[in-house]
Amino acid sequence: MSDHVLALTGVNAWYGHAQALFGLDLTVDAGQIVALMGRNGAGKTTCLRSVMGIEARRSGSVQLAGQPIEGLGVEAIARRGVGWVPDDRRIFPTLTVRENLQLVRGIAKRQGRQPMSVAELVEVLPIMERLIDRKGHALSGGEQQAVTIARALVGRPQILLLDEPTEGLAPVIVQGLAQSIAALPERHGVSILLAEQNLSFVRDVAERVYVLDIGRLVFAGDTAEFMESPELQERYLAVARSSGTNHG
Amino acid sequence: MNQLLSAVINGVATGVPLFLVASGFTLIYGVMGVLNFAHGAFFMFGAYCFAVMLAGQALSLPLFLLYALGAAAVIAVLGVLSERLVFARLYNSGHMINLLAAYALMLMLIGLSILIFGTTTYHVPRPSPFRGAVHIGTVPVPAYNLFVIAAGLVVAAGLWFLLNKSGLGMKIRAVAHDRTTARALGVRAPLVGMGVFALGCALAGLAGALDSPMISVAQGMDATFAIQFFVVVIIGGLGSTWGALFASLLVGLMESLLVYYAPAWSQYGMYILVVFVLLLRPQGLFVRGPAITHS
Amino acid sequence: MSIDSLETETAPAPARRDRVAWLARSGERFDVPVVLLLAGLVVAFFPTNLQFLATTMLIYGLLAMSANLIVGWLGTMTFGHAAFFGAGIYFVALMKDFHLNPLLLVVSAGLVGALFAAFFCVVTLRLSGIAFVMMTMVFGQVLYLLLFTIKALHGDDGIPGVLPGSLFGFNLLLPKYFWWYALAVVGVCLFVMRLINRSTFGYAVLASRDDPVRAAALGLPTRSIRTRVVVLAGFFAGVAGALFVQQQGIASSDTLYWLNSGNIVLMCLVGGRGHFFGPMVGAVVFVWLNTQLFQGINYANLFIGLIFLVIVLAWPDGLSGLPGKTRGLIRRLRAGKGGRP
Repeated sequence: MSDHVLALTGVNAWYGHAQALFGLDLTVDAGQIVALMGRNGAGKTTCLRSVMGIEARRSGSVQLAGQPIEGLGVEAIARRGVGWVPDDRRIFPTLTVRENLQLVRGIAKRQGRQPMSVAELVEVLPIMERLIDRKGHALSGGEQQAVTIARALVGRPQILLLDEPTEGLAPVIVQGLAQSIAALPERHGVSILLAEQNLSFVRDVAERVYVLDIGRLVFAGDTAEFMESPELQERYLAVARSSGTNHG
Repeated sequence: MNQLLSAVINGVATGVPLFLVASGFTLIYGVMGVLNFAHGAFFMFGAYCFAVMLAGQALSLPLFLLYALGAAAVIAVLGVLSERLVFARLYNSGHMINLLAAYALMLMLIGLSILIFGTTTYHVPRPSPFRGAVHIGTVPVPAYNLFVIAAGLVVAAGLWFLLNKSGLGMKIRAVAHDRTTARALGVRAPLVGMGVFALGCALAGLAGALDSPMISVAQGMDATFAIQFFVVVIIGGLGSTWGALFASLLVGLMESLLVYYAPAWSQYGMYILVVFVLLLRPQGLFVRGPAITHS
Repeated sequence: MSIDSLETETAPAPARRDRVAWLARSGERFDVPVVLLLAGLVVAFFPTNLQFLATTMLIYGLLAMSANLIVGWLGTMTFGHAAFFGAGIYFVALMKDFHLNPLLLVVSAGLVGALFAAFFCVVTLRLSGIAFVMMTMVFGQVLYLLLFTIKALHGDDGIPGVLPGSLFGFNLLLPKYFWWYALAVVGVCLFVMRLINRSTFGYAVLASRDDPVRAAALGLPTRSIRTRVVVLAGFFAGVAGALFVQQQGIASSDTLYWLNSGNIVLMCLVGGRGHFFGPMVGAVVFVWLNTQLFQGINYANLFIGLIFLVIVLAWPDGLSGLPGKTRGLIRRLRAGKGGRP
């Protein structure tokens, strides 16, 4: 039980009076990549935000490496080693990429963690090399995505929360991203909780899959198990199929 | 011609404290999104504190500066208290609510100042090295004016360095752009907010201290100043420090020149300017995009 | 049609139900005269000094109600409303030597106020939001400064010796007659406001306040709506100004000081800007506080600011919102503590 990097138990979340998550139980083990799937509005982003402590009111228990974090503020949770990569990227536009990274580096040092150097980051995300001195507003979508991931990695977090990283990216970039991300746990010891709708990306990257439907957990199991069942995919991911035809 | 030069220098010297207050306000607005309408009251408090500390003595320059920074520090504390007690609750409310709360705070500060400092007029002597006049060519110019201009330059440069070249400045800029993401990276945004408030109010307090020898420190001073800095910010454009600099100098010069050429209208100077700006370019001179039209 | 017909044990028959509905609607439409009549009768039995106070409260009430056209109906802010008030005051003061009919003066003062408001609207036609609020403050301050620049307005000294005159043979210098006179004038003004409030125009105003984009998309002329409302506000403020100087006897520059404009807004908020009579309630409370509690305290602004702050932070609906809040609180307490988190 205690080697879960992240453990959610009975988590409920509300936006105002509207409940978005119902009794969610979820775990991520050390060194794992776990995917969270579901339609738009199913609660994937809400789940990640609940872990991070952003916005929604929540109840239930959230534990990071056995320590409860559900009562902490956002910055405290970040400092404990949770990396946040939001779906809208959120680069600081007037800061250069180097400054974006520098921001986190200083904080990590004060936490006693040795931050990743630029060289190490380039190794993970080769694209970073030519971006390092560009200003935030001068980056394309794919480049922003890379920088956002790098920024979250700099402080060597225990777990990375990735929210729909492939959204809006060209397929060729998505492939490169899949390679980089799949290598992360091995090379840098970071676990990943990934919210995604892209089936093939999840297949290439994740070991386990949780599926949400209108705020409730409807499937939890190995990626292989989920990928082999078109019926499950259709039911929960709204994959459009005409009746009787199997599009694999 | 000679008197024109004197008027110009006077105008710039008048603009400096305006700039300090306006830049403090702009800093707070840029980072916290709060329209601190009460900022002029912090200026007034700074002037009063300084006047009381000096108790009518003419000090040497180092002591003068020390006391001025001391007054600024007191106002910084006052600012942090205001932030914690009033503004921290209103971060998600609209501009209008913020404006009203700040107005209420200003009323309280005005009342408090009467309670603490009374209604007498305080006279603050200039520091000993700057009591006389300096001659630029054949034109006599009050030495203190030049001192104020120099002090303004130093503070402006320091502020620029802080915001653009320091780690703290980076955090401030990050929080200003995107508070949530900054927090998600571990930046303690509430602390940064308090720091920015402290800094902004310290600037206002320092402005009050520096300005006090040039004005009469008494009740009613705040009225002109309370509106004046806000006018300056509107002219320069909300959120632009360069705008605040330009507009402060403009208003200072306008007033000074009017005093020289048309004394009866000297008080109308800034209003004439702001009406022009609001009609021709409502978002302010240095800001792109539409004016803030929502509440 | 007597009030008794409302007290029936069983459900009223259809015809009766219609009459009840009609009575309820007229009750709404005629609440202004009824309330003021009752107030009038009560105050008529007060001693003279209290009658004077009540009259002052009434006049400030009209002023606050006029400001609420901008603060409550339009949903924006104004820090320069004292300017229209002052326009009415100084107009009547300047006319003091002509010994004109007081009602004529009141109406003319209203028109003067409306004129100033119209001018203001022309200047600020393209502005909204913070820029608009800024302009209200500038307008108010400029007019205040003009009191000192224009010799005929006497700046600090003001214009003393303004007599109200007499109406229908009654000498308005006597508080008990002035009370009825002021009540009648204010009553008519409030009645008109009530009618406008309930009219199509009134709903158009609310629509453009609640959702300006949608209102414009529906074809509502939001700019001209705003202009008409501000001009109305200026008119009623001018009327209030006329009554004020007729009662006080002197026009002084303090009334246009910008902090007074803030006080007017405070009255609207304290009383509740979402309720029709809210500002009137706020004005009564404010005048009472100022004359009874804060008399002689020169740092009264500390408390006024504190009240303002409490209202903004905790009670945005003001005093008029209290009944609703209390009902809500009682309901929540009754629902028990094991409710929603």
